[in-house]
Amino acid sequence: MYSRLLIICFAAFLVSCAQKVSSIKNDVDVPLDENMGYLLIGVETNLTLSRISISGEKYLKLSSEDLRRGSQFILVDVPAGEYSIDKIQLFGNFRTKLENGYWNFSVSPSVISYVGHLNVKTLSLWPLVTQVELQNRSSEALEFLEDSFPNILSNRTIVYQGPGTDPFLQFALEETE
Amino acid sequence: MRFLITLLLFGIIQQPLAQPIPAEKLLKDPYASGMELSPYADYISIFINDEEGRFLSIVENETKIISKIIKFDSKDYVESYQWLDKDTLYMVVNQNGEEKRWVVDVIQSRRGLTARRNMIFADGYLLSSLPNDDENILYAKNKKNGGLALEIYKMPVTELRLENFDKDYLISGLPKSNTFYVYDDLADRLLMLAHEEENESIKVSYMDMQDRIQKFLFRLNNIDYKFDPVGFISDTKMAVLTDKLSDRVALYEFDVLTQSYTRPLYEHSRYDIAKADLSENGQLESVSYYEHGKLSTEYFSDTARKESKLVLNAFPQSQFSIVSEAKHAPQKIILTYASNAPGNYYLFDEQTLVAELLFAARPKLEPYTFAKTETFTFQSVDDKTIEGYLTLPNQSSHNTLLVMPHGGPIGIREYDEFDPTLQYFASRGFAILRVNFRGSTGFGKEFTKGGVGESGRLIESDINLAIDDVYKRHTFDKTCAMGASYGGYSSFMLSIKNPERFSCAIGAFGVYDLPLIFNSSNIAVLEEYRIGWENAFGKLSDAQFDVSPVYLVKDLKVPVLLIGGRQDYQVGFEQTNRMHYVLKKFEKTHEFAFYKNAGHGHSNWWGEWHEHALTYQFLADTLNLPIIDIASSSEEDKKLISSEPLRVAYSYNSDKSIDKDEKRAIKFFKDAADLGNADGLYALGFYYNQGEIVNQDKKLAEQYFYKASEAGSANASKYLAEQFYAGQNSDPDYKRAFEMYELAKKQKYHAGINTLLARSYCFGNGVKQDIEVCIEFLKFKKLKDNSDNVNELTSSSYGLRKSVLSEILNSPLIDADSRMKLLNFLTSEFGIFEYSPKVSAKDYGVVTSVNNKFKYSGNDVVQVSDSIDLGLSFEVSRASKSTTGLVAHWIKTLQDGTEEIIHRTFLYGSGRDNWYIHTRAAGGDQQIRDWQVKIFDLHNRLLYSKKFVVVEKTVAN
Repeated sequence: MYSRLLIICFAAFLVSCAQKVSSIKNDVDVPLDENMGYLLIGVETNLTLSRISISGEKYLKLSSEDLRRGSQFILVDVPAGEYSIDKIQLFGNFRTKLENGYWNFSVSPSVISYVGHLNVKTLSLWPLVTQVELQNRSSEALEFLEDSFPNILSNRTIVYQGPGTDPFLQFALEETE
Repeated sequence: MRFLITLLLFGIIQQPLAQPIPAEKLLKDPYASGMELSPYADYISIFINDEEGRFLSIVENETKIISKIIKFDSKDYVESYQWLDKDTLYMVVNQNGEEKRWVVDVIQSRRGLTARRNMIFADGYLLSSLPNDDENILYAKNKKNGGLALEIYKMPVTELRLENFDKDYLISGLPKSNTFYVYDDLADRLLMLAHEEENESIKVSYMDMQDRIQKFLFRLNNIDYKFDPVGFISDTKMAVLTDKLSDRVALYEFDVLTQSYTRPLYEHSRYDIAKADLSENGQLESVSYYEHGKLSTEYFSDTARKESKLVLNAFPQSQFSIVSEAKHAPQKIILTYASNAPGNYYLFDEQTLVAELLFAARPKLEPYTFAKTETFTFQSVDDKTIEGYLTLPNQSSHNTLLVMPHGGPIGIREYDEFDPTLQYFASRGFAILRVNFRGSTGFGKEFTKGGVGESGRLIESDINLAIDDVYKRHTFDKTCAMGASYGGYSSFMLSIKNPERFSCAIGAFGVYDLPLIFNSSNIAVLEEYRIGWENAFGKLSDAQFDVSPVYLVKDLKVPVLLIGGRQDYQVGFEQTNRMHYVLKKFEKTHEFAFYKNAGHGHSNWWGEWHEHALTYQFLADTLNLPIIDIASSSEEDKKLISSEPLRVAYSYNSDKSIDKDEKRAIKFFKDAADLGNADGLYALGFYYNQGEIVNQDKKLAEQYFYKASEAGSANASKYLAEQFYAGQNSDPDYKRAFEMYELAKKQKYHAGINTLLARSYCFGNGVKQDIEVCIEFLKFKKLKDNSDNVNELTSSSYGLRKSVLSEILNSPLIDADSRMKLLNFLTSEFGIFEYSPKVSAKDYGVVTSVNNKFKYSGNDVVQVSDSIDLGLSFEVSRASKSTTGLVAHWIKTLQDGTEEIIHRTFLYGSGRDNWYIHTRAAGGDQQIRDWQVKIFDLHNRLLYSKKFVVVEKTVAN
């Protein structure tokens, strides 16, 4: 069994100019600009989070309404390009600072890019200790889209853009068509 | 408590029972475990698990009296413990993740032995109780503000108890760099481990306790071979278990001065050496290895050879191990065990040669006869000798072989020892085949490494050849594969690649997509983590897709059962979910169960019981096996075995442990019912009567209720009694109703059943009217302290009594004399002295709850709704200050004027109390005209009524 990243959190004053994004609610596949794509990310947390900051082609800010205790998926349309999960604000001014290099992903134009499931587990409130991992839960992501966004899924290809390489989504969609 | 001593140099004669063994008896913590003899063998300490809980207990050797001296909570975990002196123990107990250290004094008192626990707050650990020193112990204590540095104290037990870490006891001159110490009791040497950051190595030195001079021993630097020091054989030479110079782990002489292996001391031609023992003077006494899965020991000294011969003569059919030896007495505790024997603890006296049976490890299993395991060898395709283990059932009605690959696949192995899971399935008629395929440990490193990257290839080839070998000697009608972790993977691969051979497969907590292992997260993709998996599955490559069940699902032709844990962080739940996804997409016949609180396996016995029952039922359904025969089982076993599918059914009836699935629940209720389980039969009656999940079938429901009642279901008996009493389908049959109420009472329905019997006596329904008996049945106060009462007092009992009291007090059948007796009863039972208070309404209407306070709409015209709460709050004024009581009814009136009392209750209290009465007003399909609430005094005079008129809901434009 491998251990996961343990991050000791600290209080900090946050200054941000990122754009707040919310998960798409309706299963309507609106035409996207040439350089836009869908980002699908899962978040599982045992504590409702205040915010997740993602930097890259565009600064994104996932807000608490999509980051409730439990497991959820967030589907948003964003400019295609390279991104990185920078910070997770837990509550108040407590946040995790994520080490560079382990939280990168890319969003491809026109398709749905599933980038993984961010698992945030707060192990202790004092001292504040949080475990964070970006997990590949492709089958769960596919089930989510089939249940909640069948129209968008029928119009778009879904590709895995999370850590490592994984052809499962391609296999699942091609072989079952 | 005194227990029987059995003088035993022969086997126990018992009547064996070849019957299915309940999971609850097999899969549980042993009754007796962890025995230790005190230094002079005055006491034997032991952990006992019984109905009262888990205890540290002490057996007085002379009298054999057992005293339970410490009770542990269910979450407490004893990490280690040992005797410090003749009546003192040292224990390390993990409580809620926190390590607690206790010095436990065993005290003789009038009540027998008791314990006094002294908490040791200083961080550290016991190094040795110093067997050759009656006064002192060695303790390693963390240095204050010293990081990982430790201080070593040689101190009396009394001072440890007081935490008096005096300088006089401190062993001086030890380097601060040492981060861990070990004490070698035989050589009287202190071994010291220091981490050397500059070369990433561990330096090990030692110090004689006599001259206290530190000497270098060896240095370990990222070694990829085994190096386990056994002990000193001379001043400068050690015996070491290592596979550095040989394929198999062998015992070598290691020269500390030259840092070289001087000569082999013992090497087996086929097996790794698992254990070696030296005498006090450094002579090799014995080596042990697993031969055909059994721990086999060779002895080298005359004394050891003689001792072992004595024990072997005493227990010729068993394997044995020495669990504990008294330091200053000729007594030992010996555990005997075998693949078909769960184990017995004996006290063996070397001088008198007498062995006394102390405890059976699992006494509840003594009545059963267990399946034996036969071992065999065969040659692999590349001519490796491989061991197989075949456990054959004592009897079988279906002749089925279960192939059970082990986990790993690297560094794990099978043993020929008592295994509860094997016995569970063998007692249900299955033969079980296990294989120490390549990759298994114990046969040399080449054999172990030979399994790396052979998943889905040579490993499964080995298993198939084992099956071929078994088929030559035995005939089976059907074969299935089942396993956990790698065993789950292997089972699926075996069935995909050999559909002609396998009829089904079961995978639990398995791996089904090999490349996913390397790509499961942003941590798993890191090189240092991938190396770990490469040591099992080889380097990540496209070839792994060809041996991954997810990508081969099209070729799967047999039904499978997929079991997973949603908290599995070892291989990830995605593995199981992914397999499940493709099974659904490719419409493969499958069953599944995903445990919400399980990880890479279960952390409690409930999960094991559940999984075993689920697995058995899958096999039984898939292979169309006859219903398990429990006709000759004891009543206790019948109940336990028939409750196994019931447990699964209940789990599917809620969302607590697995996803709710009532259709599956009904299937398992049916399985339980097939075994005559009363609760299973009642549940089926309930479902067919209700008609929501299955088509309503009142006749079938009634049949199930009757069968359930006959099988002992109090719920079913009470239900049938209510049907007779109400005359649902015909005229009331009060006599039969009374008989069924009595039966339900006998079947231990809760104490509310007494009040239904009371009603029969009060009204003379089905029995001669008798107000005195009626009142006796209404009394609950007397039940509280009655230990003979089998009808438990629950909140439902009190609720039912209120309803029945309301019905009795509101009845015209109660004459004045009887009413007076009832009022006297209300006085004695409830303290009610005022029987006719005045009532005035405070508020009424549709009820909502705001901040835990009821809010009333104030309307007496209500709209039709599926379900609303109607209510009335009121004031009660009395002539005196005493407690008073009231009877209240809610009545539903249909459009045709038909009235039905849908809620009766009896209210009591003082004037200061908040008085209210609510009801759930659910119309369903009926056309309801109005709802009425009526309040009566205890003389059955109407005090107040309120009608709520129902109107159609207006639709907004």
